[in-house]
Amino acid sequence: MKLWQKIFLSTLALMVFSTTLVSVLLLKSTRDALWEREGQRAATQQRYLAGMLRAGVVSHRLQLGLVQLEEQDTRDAAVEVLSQQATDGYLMGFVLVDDSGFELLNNLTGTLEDTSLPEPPEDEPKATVYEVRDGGNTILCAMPITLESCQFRLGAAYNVADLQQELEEQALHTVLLSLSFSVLGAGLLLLLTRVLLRPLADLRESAKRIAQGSYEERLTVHGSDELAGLAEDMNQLAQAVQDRVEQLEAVAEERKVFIGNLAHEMKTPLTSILGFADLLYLPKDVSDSKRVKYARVISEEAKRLRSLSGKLLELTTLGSASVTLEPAPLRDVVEEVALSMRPVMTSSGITLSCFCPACDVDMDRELFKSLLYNIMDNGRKASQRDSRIDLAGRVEGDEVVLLIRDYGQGIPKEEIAKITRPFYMVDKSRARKAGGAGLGLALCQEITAVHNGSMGIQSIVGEGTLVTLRFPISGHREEADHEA
Amino acid sequence: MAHVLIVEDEEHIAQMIDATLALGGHTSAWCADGASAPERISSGNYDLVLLDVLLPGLDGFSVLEQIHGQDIPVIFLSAMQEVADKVRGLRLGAEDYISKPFEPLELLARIDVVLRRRGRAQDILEYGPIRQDLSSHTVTLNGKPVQLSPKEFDLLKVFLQHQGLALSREKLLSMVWGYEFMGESRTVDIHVQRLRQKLQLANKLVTLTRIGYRLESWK
Repeated sequence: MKLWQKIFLSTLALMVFSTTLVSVLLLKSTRDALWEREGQRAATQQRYLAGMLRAGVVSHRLQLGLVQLEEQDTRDAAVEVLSQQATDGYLMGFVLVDDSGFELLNNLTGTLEDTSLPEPPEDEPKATVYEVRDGGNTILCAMPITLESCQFRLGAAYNVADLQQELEEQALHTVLLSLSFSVLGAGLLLLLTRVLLRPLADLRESAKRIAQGSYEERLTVHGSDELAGLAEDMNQLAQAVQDRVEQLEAVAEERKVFIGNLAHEMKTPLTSILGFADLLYLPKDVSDSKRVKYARVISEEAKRLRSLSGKLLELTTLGSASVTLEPAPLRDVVEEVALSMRPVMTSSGITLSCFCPACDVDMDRELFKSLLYNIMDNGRKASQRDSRIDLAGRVEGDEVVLLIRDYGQGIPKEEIAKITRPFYMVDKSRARKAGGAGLGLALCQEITAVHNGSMGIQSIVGEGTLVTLRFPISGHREEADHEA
Repeated sequence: MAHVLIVEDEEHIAQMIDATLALGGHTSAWCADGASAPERISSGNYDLVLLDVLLPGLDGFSVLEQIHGQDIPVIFLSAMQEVADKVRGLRLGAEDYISKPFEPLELLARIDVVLRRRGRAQDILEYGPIRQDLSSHTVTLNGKPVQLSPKEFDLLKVFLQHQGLALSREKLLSMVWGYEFMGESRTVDIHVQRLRQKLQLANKLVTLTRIGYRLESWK
């Protein structure tokens, strides 16, 4: 069952119940008041009747000139007086009963089924009492009366059929009125429920669309009720989903580009290897000089593939964050790298100078050395003979800064932002000749990140490049915490 | 045979293509960057251009756009093997699009197709006393016609076009019977046997153990 149906039906039931209750109570109180008034009227009539009876009996006694009437005479006189009393549309007839319960007169027989007089309450034997008879059409009133020291009870029936009819009409009216009010109310309620719940249907539609993939869909928020709040929450949800999806898409796109580049980088050496291998076996005779040349190319290209796979492996390992950092003296590490690089530098005709402050850095020693090696080797590749590469370090606060400067060809300004991307090469053919795969700086970036450091590159074409590395000094943070 | 311009920034690949072309009897020149390629193509007297797509200076697609209007067939050689790239290359008017890595024989075969389409390939193949005319579909031995079945004719063509080269049975199957053909390499042996008999090639068409066959160069 829909929410609007639930709200509509339950409110409707409550409304019908309360209107019915109110009309029934109202009807009942009106009816009680009317009957009360009718009873009073009957009682007044009764007293008048009683006075008339008493006067009739007294005048009968005075006619006879007696002081006191005999009991039997009193009875006869009373019956006579009453018999002479005319009945009309209102007064229907009389019953006179003596104190033993014997009916002296009853002209109600035939008009009324039950003509027995209502008994007065025991604590008030003299009270005038009445009862409604004949299905509400008649009031039977009874009162004690003393005539010439004899006790009687006088009863009279009054016609109240028109009152009963009036009451029935009123009841009918009330029922009709409350029914029509209920129908009207139901209509209004239905309209109101639909209007108030319309935003809910809109919310649902939008939620469906979002779920089906249109994550940029937003709900329009009206007013400040709970539905508006819900709409706002759903908008936030959609925003979060959209952000996440975009993030995932960006990662997927990056990965796709990476794999595309990787495939390209692998196909280039493979083309040479496969081609030259075929050229070695296809002809019957291959001259010695050709054979050596072909084999050399195959070997070189295979080495390129090896270096590519090695760097890829390093990059993947770094991504999986299984690197443990331990404090190591920076100066020793720098000197180790410088020592292993000196032969290559010397053969390229490049002077390497190193100055490093004594401090400890949390590092994975091999990765850190690979980082320094990569940067210095990049400098070497960019430099002419008889050039130099300087490495200088200094402590700045809780950081150590390493500056690696070469005086080589430099990097064009618009390329600097791109050079840390995997497989990006400023001068492809030159880089290939030097055995590069375009992964070196991407690797450096990753290694720096793993060491909680940062890498900055400044360069001027024709003047050289300055690489700035920053790393937190080992243990410094803990000491600072102690002082604090 | 044809004079080919190789536009390729990878020196080793250019050397490999050069050696492959030499095997097919073609001559070649090398252009290492895209920027100077249109100039080289216009000025030189080339029968065919082998064009890489990723080039320094100017990419292969742009090179092709620049030489548009010149009647010179171009075959793309690229490591980019997305369908969109191939379609783009062919739409621009390239004759073929070969993905790297490729085999030397495949390159030669595709070059041959393009040259034939342009009417620049030889229609007459000769080998000593044997003369195969591809246009009239006839073979003569010492001037006398020899009857060959269609497959024998195609097989002879492959051998004559690759004189002195070792050809594996699989290679022959794919070049003569097509890549879809699922036949056994016995089929190749039977046809080679018939060629030897009909054309007196018993000494020249040699079996290479575990490899395949080679038609020795005629000396």
